[in-house]
Amino acid sequence: MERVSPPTLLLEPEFLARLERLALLSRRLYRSGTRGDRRSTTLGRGVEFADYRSYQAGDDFRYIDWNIASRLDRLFVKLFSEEEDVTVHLLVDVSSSMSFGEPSKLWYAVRTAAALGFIGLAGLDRVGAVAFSDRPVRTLSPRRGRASAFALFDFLAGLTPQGQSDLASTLAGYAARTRRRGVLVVISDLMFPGGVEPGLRAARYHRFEPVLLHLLTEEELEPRLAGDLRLVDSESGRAVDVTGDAAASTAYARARDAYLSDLERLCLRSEVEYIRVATSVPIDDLILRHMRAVGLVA
Amino acid sequence: MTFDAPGALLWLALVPVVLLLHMLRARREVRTVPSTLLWERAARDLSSRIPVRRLERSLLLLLQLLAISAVALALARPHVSLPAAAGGSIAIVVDTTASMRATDVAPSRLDQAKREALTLLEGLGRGRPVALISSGARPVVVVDLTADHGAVAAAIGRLRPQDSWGEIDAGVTLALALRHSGRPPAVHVFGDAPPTSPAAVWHSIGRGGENAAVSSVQQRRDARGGTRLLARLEAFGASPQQRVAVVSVNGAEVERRGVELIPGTSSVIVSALGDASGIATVSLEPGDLLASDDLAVAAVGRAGFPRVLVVGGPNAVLDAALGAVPTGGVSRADEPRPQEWSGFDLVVLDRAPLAELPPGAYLIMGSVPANFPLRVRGIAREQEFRTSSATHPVTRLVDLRGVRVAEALDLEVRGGQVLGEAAVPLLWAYEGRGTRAVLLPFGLAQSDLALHPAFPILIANSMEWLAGGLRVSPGGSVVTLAGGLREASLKRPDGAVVAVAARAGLFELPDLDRVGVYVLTTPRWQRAWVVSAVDSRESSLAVRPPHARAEEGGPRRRAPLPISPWLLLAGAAIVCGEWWMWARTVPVAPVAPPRRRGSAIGGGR
Repeated sequence: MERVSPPTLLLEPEFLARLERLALLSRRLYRSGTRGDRRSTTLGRGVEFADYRSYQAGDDFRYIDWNIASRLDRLFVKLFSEEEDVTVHLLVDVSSSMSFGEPSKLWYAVRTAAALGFIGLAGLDRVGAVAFSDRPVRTLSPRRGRASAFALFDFLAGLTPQGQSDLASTLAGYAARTRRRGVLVVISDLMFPGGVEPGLRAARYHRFEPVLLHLLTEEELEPRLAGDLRLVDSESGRAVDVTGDAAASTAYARARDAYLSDLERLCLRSEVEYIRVATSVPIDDLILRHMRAVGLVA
Repeated sequence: MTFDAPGALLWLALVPVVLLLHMLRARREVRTVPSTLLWERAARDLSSRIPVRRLERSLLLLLQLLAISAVALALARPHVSLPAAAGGSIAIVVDTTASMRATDVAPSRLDQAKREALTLLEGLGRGRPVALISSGARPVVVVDLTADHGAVAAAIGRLRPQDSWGEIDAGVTLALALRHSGRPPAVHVFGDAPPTSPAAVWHSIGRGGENAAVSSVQQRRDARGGTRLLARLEAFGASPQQRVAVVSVNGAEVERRGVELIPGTSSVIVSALGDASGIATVSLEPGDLLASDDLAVAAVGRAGFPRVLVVGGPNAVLDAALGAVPTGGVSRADEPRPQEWSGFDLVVLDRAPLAELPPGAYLIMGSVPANFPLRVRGIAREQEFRTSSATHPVTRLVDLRGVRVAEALDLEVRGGQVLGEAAVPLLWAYEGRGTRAVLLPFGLAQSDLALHPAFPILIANSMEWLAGGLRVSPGGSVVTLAGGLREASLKRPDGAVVAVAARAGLFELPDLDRVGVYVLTTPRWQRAWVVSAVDSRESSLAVRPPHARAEEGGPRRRAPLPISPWLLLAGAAIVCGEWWMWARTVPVAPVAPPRRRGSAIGGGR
């Protein structure tokens, strides 16, 4: 299979420079073993004052507010919000169906993942990546630091489309094995016969914050078929006979709208961020404008 | 609307076939898509999986059906009859065949036809183009399309009947070939035979009646060398007829015999004429509605057989063979001088050196004329007849198998008919351009042909076939050698004499359209041709109904308007339009864009 990476860079330097000013927003804060740029619910050794509480045996004397003690004759310790990092898990669908489109959905997914990953690394978050089809195919363990961007880009550039896709088993397995909770960005065309609900439920169960980035080509959104056709599924090989006429167009539109509505309702119910994007939308528009608009980055 | 070829409407059976083909699923184009997930859900609503699909409104299908229907209708050659356009041209076709002499309408059918034609002519508007066609043995345009109605009326008055048989449809075809402003004329036929073409309006002439005829007369030689005259008599009508048959030779009555003629059968009377020679006639008395077929003429005795000229050296075998067949006399010449052959009916060329032969009848042995469709490739030796024609009159009852030829001219045949052959053609016959010929590419001395029983039969058959050109059917034409003369006179059976001028060394006689003897007289020689009898197809005077698709004339004068060209044009236009649409590939109705939500980016409108 061909590598996804074209001869050009995944992301242009100018674009990377603009990404540096962004940060991934999470609706929740996660406990992490490393101090980061993100305020933790844990009150501790941060620099930002949060509250007072009564001194208890064993508290660090350095945090006793002596001014309060002199006035009230009681000992209070200052509480600070501890700034922690968040782990961003980038799950990129590399099944065969992702090779379609111009540009291909996989190329679009790789660039999107690279951009999100770079934002995370620039913000001292941990970023890991997983390429999956019906199982994790390749994995890049979560890592921090701007320098890790090269490893992430190399990882993403080496992805090739292969196999069938199964998000449910992939997500369930990954969520169960991964201890670092965090933002779980799934970039896929979501064409799973088994649906996405079991996988999302497993991720939520393990306290991940899933974000579904749904990639679709224009041809998938508004196919224009003419004549008698036998459509063959690129992954399963299943065939559907279709006559490209007005009735078929109407039926497809109905099935598509029902499918997308179900997805949106499911994500709303499961508190999963859902973003559907056509691959015709430029990447910089997606990241800098649309993702900002929906509050995924800031 | 009527159809000339209604059988072609069977092509309309293609319409349900096309519908069936359209309903059957065509072989599908296989296309790989990212996922069939949505299409599988959509297919539940569709009938795509059914091997036949319901008919939907399809412009392409409609065009296909229209094209097939148009072509099928065009092949059926439909036409509608419209009132003749006032400004259109008219072709008047007058039947001048023998039956138009019948007097069942006074004074004759032809005169009645002339009257009706003149009435039609008078009713036409001034300046309307009119043509006149005489439809006899051969149709002739007497007056081409002209606005001069006076000239047409005069020409109608000059029409005279023939004793010949003819097809009225030939006259209609000729009339339709005329054009005025690119359009054919409306055709009006005046005669007793209905045209089959629906394009013609038929004005029926005649009331019908009883008739009897001498349909043929021939001479035969009896065992003693005498002449017997055979005449066939026929009756036409509903009831038997009592007649008297009178046989005369050179105007002298020889025999008178009462006969009863039964319609639907023919009677043959035989008269022994002994050694009489001259012109024999057989006539029926009393006369009836059609007088011209009551008389038949034949040359009998020596006058009835060809005068033969043998050109070449002495040949006892040939002389003996010619002596065994009836002839009007045999003359000899050592050198071929065609200018001296005018007085002979048949020339036998026995190894005579030849250049080109003028029109005539020839029996040729051992040489090839330069103007015959033959080429001599060389000499063929030791040949033996393997086959001979079983159907040609020259080889009737002649079995040439086993006849050996020591040396023959190797012929390359470019026309005519090979009647017998070994490895090379050995017997050849030709008819055309005023010439009849039988050719043996070898001399009798170079073959054992004369020793075979087939030889005298072959000579007799050849003489009879070659001399057959002397008997002319009514309306036939004759071309004969002028023999260096410039002018001759032709005496017709009715006694009229017309001058005939030579052209290119030939006398081309006008159509011999009357029964009787035609005599061509020159200062040096005299030749006669006999038009024996009226064709029996002209003797029935029954009134015939119009053909089913033809239209009988009368007050309704209508002109047929063929629709086929327009239908073909429409069919072609439809096919072109369908091809154009197909080439453009009719796009499928677009899928409606998905509804836009806040989380949807792109892909919608």
